Amino acid sequence: MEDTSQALQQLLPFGQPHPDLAPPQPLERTFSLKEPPVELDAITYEILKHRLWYIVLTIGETLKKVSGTTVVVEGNDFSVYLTDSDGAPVFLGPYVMMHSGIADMLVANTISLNMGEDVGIYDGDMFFCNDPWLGPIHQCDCAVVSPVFVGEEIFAWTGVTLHQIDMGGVDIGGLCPNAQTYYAEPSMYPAIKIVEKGKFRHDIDRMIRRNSRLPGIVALDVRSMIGANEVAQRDLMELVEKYGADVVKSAMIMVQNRTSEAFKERLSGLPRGKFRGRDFLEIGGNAPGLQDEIYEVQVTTTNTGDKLVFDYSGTCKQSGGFVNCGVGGLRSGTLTSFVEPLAWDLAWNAGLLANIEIITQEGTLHNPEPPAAVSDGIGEAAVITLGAATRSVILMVLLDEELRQESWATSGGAFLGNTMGGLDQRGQIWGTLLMDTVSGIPSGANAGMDGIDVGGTPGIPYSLMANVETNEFHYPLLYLYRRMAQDASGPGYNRGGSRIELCMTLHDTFYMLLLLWTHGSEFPNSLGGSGGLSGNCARAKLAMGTDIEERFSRGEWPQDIDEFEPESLAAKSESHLGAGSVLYLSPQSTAGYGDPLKREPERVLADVRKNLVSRETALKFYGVVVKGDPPQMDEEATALERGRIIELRLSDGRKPSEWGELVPRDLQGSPPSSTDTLAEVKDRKAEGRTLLTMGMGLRLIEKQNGDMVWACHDCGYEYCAVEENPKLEAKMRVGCLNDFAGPHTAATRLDNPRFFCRQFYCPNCGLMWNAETARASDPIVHDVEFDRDYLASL
Amino acid sequence: MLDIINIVLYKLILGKSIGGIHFKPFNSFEIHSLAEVIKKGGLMGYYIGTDIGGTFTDTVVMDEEGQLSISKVPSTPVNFAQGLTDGLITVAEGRSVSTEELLEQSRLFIHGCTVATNTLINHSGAKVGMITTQGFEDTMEIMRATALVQGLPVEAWYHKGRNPRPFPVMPRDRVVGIKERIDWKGAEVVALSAEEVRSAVDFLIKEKGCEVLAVCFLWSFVNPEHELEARKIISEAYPEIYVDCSHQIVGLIGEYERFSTTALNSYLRPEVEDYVSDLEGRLDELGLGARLLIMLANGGSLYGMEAARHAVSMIGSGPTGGVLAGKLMGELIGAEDIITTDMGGTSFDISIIARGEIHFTKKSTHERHAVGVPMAEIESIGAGGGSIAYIDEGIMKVGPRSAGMDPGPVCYGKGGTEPTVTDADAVLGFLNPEFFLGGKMSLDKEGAERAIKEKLANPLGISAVEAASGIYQIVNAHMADAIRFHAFQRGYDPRDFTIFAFGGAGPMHAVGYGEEIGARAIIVPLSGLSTVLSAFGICNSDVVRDYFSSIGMPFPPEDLGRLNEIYARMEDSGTKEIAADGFESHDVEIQRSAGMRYHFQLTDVDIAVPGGVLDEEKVQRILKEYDRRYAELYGEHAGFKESGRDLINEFVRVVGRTPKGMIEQEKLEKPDPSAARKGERPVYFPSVREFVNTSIYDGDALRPGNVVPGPAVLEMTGTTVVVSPGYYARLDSYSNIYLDGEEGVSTNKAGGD
Repeated sequence: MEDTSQALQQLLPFGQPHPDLAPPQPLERTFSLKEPPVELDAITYEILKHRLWYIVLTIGETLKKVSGTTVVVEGNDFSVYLTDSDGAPVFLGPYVMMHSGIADMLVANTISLNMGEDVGIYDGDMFFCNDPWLGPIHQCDCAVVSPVFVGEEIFAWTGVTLHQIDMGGVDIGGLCPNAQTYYAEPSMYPAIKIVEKGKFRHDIDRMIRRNSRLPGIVALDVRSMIGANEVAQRDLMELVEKYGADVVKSAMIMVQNRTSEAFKERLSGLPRGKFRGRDFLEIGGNAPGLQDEIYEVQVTTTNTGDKLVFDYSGTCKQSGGFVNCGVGGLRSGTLTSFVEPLAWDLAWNAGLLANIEIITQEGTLHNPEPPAAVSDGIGEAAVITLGAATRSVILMVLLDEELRQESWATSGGAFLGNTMGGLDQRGQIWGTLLMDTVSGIPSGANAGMDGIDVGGTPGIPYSLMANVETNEFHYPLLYLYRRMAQDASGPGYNRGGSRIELCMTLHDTFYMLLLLWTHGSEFPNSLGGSGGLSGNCARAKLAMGTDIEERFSRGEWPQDIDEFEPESLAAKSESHLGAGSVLYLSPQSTAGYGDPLKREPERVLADVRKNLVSRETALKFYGVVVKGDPPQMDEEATALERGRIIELRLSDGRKPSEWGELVPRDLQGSPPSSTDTLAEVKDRKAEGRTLLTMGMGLRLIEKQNGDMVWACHDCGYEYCAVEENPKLEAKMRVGCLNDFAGPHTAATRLDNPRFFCRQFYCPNCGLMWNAETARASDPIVHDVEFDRDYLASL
Repeated sequence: MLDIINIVLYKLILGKSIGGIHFKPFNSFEIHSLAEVIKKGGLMGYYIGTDIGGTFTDTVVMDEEGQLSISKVPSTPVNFAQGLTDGLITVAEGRSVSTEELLEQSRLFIHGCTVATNTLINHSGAKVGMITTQGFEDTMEIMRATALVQGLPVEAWYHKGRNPRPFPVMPRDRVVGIKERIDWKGAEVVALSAEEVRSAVDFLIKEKGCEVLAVCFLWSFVNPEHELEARKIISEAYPEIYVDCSHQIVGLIGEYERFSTTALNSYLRPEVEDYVSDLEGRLDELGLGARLLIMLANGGSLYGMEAARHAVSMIGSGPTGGVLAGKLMGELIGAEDIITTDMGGTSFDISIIARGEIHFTKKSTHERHAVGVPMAEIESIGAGGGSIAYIDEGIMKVGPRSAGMDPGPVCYGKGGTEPTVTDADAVLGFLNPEFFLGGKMSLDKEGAERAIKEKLANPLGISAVEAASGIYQIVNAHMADAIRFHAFQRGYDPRDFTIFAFGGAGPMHAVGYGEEIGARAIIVPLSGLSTVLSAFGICNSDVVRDYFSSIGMPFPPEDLGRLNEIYARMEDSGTKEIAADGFESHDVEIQRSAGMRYHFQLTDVDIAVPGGVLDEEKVQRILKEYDRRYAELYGEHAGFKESGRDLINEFVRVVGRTPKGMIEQEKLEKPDPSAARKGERPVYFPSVREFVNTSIYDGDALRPGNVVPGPAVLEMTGTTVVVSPGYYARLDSYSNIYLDGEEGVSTNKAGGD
C-alpha cells in the first residue's frame, strides 16, 4: 500500500519545468499603460469611445466585403485591431480572438525591425507579416499593420490578421504534416512593406502570389487587408482633425485604463490562489516520424487579486513536426481563455493584457525555437493552450456563485481542421477549408443551462457556416446529411451542446484530396465541470469505392455513414477520394456540468424524444429508464437504476492510493481491494460554516475549531484539509473513455487506448463531483490551492 | 395615461386638413389607362393610405381637389381593423362627408399594417409542419451556427453563451425528412418518395395537429418538380390545408434562409389571411369603391388575399411607407441621395435611398429569424426619446434600454424615475412643458430636472443642464455613428446624402446628428405631415410583383440565349399577372437586375440589366456597370477582375403604376416668419454651452418661403423642430423644412427657391 502511494507521489509533480530546458521566464509585455495627456469629461469620452469602436467595426466590414474566401466572409476567421503608438491595443474587434492576442507583439516587432534602419517607417506605409516568430500563430495567418501619423509622429496603428487559404509549403493549404522544420512550410514574410508611402508594392505582391497555389485568392485577400487599413486610417484622421490629437489619444488611453481598472476589480472579487489545467493533443496518423506522439500543455494560473499569472511550466518540449505554434499562439490562447468568461462586458484591449503575466520556457510546444515547424499551430498548440488555460479559469468560475450561472463552467472541444481540394465540377482547381466543422461546434454547459447545440466556436464571437447549397454550388460535393448528432453532448446535470455531423460523397468529379489537421480523436479535449462528463471526440470516417450511385438509382438515400462500413481516419491524415467515396466529418462536442444522475429524468426524456440522446445513453449515463414509443419514462425503474449506479460507484470505487496503476481494472488484471469501512465514512461529516461552494461538487467548510476543509457539496463528507487535494481522498474509478468519459467519446484507438477517464465520487453519498481524462502516467490534477491570506479573509 | 395621450391626439388631429399642402393627381393621360379599379369611378374620388402601427393608426386621404387630410387615432390591438375604421371615420368627419361616401368614392385604398410583425413578436402564429429533404431536418435548428448571435447587436456577441436561442417558429418535432434529392444542376439524384410524403403529412396533421405545411427541398429553386409533386400529393389528401413551397417564397440559393422564410410565411399566413379577409369584409360592408391593396416590405403593394399569401413580406409593411415617402419627396425636390431617419420613442430607424432608388436587401432578420425576400432595408438601433441615460463607472451612457411608453420618461409623470432623452430635451428647453402634443398634455420638467440631477449630474459633479446636454450629445453621436456605419456597409459616404428627419423626436435631434455626419442637407419633410409620413408613402405605392431566378453562369455567358430565355420567362409571367390586376401596358414598367460577383468572391452586387433581347453590346454595358458599381462599393483596387465574373441570380420586378399624389408647390412668401412667432424662452444649446433667449414659433403656421433664424424652436402638433444657433429653418414651396447651416451646410436648393 505504501508503495503505490509513493508511486503516485513520484509521478512528475504538476507544473514542474523541464530540467533540460531553459528556466521559465516571464513573457515580455511589449507596451505599457499610459496617462492620458488631457482629462476628458464623461460625455466627450463616451462619444469618442463609441466612434473609435465603430472605426474598428468598419475595418472588419471592409475585409468581409472585399475578401473572396468563405473563411473570412462566413467564418469570420480574421481579426482587426486599433492600437496606440507602441502597439498597446485600444480595441480588439469581435472576430477571432485567437489572432487578436498578437496585435501588440506584431506592432512592436514591426517597429523594432524597421525603425531606424534603412527601411524606416513613414506615413502611408503598410507592413505585411506572417512570421510566427513576430506574432502570427502560423504562416497562413497573415497580417497587415500600418502606422497612423499625426505630423511627424506615429499616433496609432491599425491592423488586420486573416487566415489565407494557401501561402505555399509542402502540403496544400499550407498546414504541412510533412514538414519537420519551417523550411518545408509556407514562406515567411517578416514585416515587409506591401505599401510604401501610399504606393502599392507590386513586386512584393508578386512575391507573395508566386509562393501560393491559389494566387488569385491570396491577391484578393491582400487587397482586402490593405483596403481595410485605408478605411480605418481615413476615419481615424477625421476624428483627429475634429477633436485634436491629444483628445483622441486621451480617449484611447482612457479606454485601456478603464478596462484595466474594471478587470482588476473583477479579479479582486474572485478567489485568490492557484488554479490548474492541462490539455493534450495527439498526432495519430499522418506526420512522418510522429504518428504516436502525444503533446501536453500544463498551466498553473494564479489569481493575485489584481493580476492573473499563467505559468506554463511543465508544458512539453517542442515537437519535431507542424503542431507547434508561434509564441503568439501562447498569448492568444491565454487571452481567449478568460476574455469571454471574465471580461464579456469590457472593451478587449491592453487593459486586459496589462493585468496578465505569462511564464513560459523556451523550446516548448508553444514557445518553440527555430526552425520548428509551426504551420498547424493555430489548430494544435494554440488550441490546447487555450484548452489548458480555460480549464484553470473555469475553476475560478465554478467557485463564483454568479459567474457559474452564465459563464463557461466547462471547457470546450476544438474544431476539426480540414483542407479539401481537387478538380471541381467545372473542371477547375478548387481548394477550401470547409467551415462546417469549425463553426458547427456547440457551446458548453454551465450551472444555469445546457450547452447550446451547434452554438458556434468559442473564441469567434460571430462565426457562420455556409449553406449546403452554397458548398455544393462551389465544390463537387453532394451532402447526404448535415444534422445534429445523437449522443453527442457531454452528460451532466446540465448537458453539453450537441455537435454537427455531415456526410457527403463526391459529385461530378473523380478525385478529391482531403487533409485533416485536428486532434482529440483519441480522447476528448472538453472537460466537464463539477462531475459533468466530456463531449465527443472529433470524428472522421471514410468509405472508398462504395455502391452509392447504384443505391441512388435504386431510389435509396443513405441515412448513416455506417451503412458503408467506413474506416475511421486519424486526427492527422491524408486521403485521396475517388468516385463512390463517402466521407463523414464531425467536430468535438462540449462537456456537461454536474453529476448526470442529478439531471431531472424529465429533461433526459425530452432529449430522448428529440433524438439527441439515445435510450442506451439515458440508461447508462443518466440512469433513466425510457420505454415505449413514443418514449415514456419509467419512474420506478429509474429510481432503482440510479440507486444501482450509486451503489456501484461506492462498491467499485477505490481511493487513488489503492490503485496500482491508473488504468482500468479490466486492462489491469486483478481488482484492487478496498480498505475503508462504511462506519469510517459515516463519521466523517464536516460541521461548520460554508465559506465557498465549488459548483455542485464541493464545499469549503470552516469547522468550529477553525480548520478549513473540503467537504461533499451534498452530504458534507469531509475529504481533507483545504491545502490538500480532495481527489486523493475520494472514491475513484478508472475506465475506458466510452464507458466513463461519455457516450461514444473516443473515435480512434479503441482497441489500444492510451487515455482513460477517472471519475471521483463522494465516499459517503456517491456524488460524482469530478472527472478527468489522462494517460495512466499523468498525475491527478490538484485543481485548486488557495492563497493563505485569501483564506484568512473569508 | 396612455389613453389620455391617445384621446388628446384623437381630438386634436381629428380630420385636420393640412394647410399649405395641396395634392393634385397626375395628368389625365396617365390616369386614362389606369387599372380597372380606377376606371370604375372615373377620375374623381379619394386616394387613401392607412398605416396601422403598434401605437397609432394613421390615415392620409387625398382627393383630386388637392385637399389632403390626415388623422391619427389609437391602434386597437385586439382587432386592428377597428382602429382602421376609426381613422376613416375621423377623416370623414373632418371632411364633413360620411364614411360610406368616402369609401364609396375611393379610387385607391392602400393599407400598411403591423399584423405580421405583431404575430411574430407575440409568437402567435400558426402550427407549422415542414417536410424537407431527408438528412437536412435540422437546418432550421442549426441556423448556420448563428443561433446565439444572429439578429443581435454586436455587443451581444461578446458572450454568446449568455444569449438564448430565438424562439422556434416551428419546433424540430414538426419537421419530417423525405427521401428525395436534386443536385446543384437541377438533376434528380433520387426520386421523390410519394409514399413517404403521404405518411409524413398524415403524421404532421393528425398527430402533430399542424395547420399549415411548408415544403422545403434542397435545390428546389433550380428544379421545383419535387416540391410541386409533394404539394400535389398533400392537396389531394388534405385539400383544405395551406401549403407553401420554398421555391415560390424565395427563388434564391441558400437553403437555411429559404426554409426559414418559408416557415415564417407559413407561420404568419393564417393570421394574416384572417385579418385581410376580415378587413375586406368590413370595407365591403362600408361600401369601399376600390379594391384593398396592401403595402409590402418590398416597397410595393398587392391586392388583398394575394398580399396575404406573401405574409412574410408584410413584416415591416408600415415603416417601408416612410422610406417610400422619402423617395417621393426626394424626387419632388430633386434630391437623389437620401438617408431617412425616423426617431421614435424606443428606436431609431435608418434607411438609404441612393441615386433615387430605395436600398433593398435580400437578407434580413426579424425577431432573429432569417428572411430572404427583398425588403427595403431599414436598420433599427435602440435610441429614441425613451432611451435611458445612466452612469457606468463615472461615464455617462445612453440606451439602448428604453423607458418605452410605460412608464415612459420621467417628465410624463407616469412613474418613470430614470432620466431619458426626452427628459433631457425638456430640461434643455426644446420641449415646451405646456405645449406637449399641442398643449393637451403637460410635462413635468422639474421632475425631469430632478431625476437628471440626482442620477447623473450629482455623481459627475456637473449641473443638471450640463448633464442633459450630455445626454443630447451622446444620443446624437450614437445615431450619427450608426448612420455612418450603415451607409459605409452599403458602400456609401453619408456626407453625400441628404438627411430626412421624421418621427416624434427626429426633427428635434436632426441638427445634432446631421451635423455630426456632415450631411449635405437636413430636411424635415412636409413639416407637420412628417408624423404620418408612412401613411403618405403607402398611399403612393405601386403594385409590384417580383420574380427571381437563381441560375448561375459565368459572365459573359457562353449561351446568351439561355439568359434571354430566363428573363423572358419571368417577364412573361409578370406581364400576364399584372394585366390580370387590371393594369394596361402604359402603366406597366419592367425592371431587370442581376446579382453578379467576381469569381472566387462570395458577396454579390445587384446590377441593373437593360430590357429587351440582350446582345453583345448590352452585355458589355452590364460588365462596365458592374465594375463601376463594385469599385464604388468596395474601392478602386478591390475587384479582382482577372478571375472573371459570375452571374448568380436574375431578378425581374414588374410595376403597375397607380395614380400618385403630387404635392402642389405653393408660391413662396416673404422670408419673415414673425406672423408665426409665439414668443420666446431660454433654451440651452450644447453647441454654445449656454441658455440663449430663443424665439418660439407655431410650426403649423409657418408659410412656404419663411426663413427662421436660429436659435429657434418650431412647435408643431406632432413634433418639435430645433434650430440651433448658426442654423436657419427654411420652408420650401412644399413646406419641407430645410435646416441650413450658416456656412453652406445645405447646398440643396431644389424646390426651395
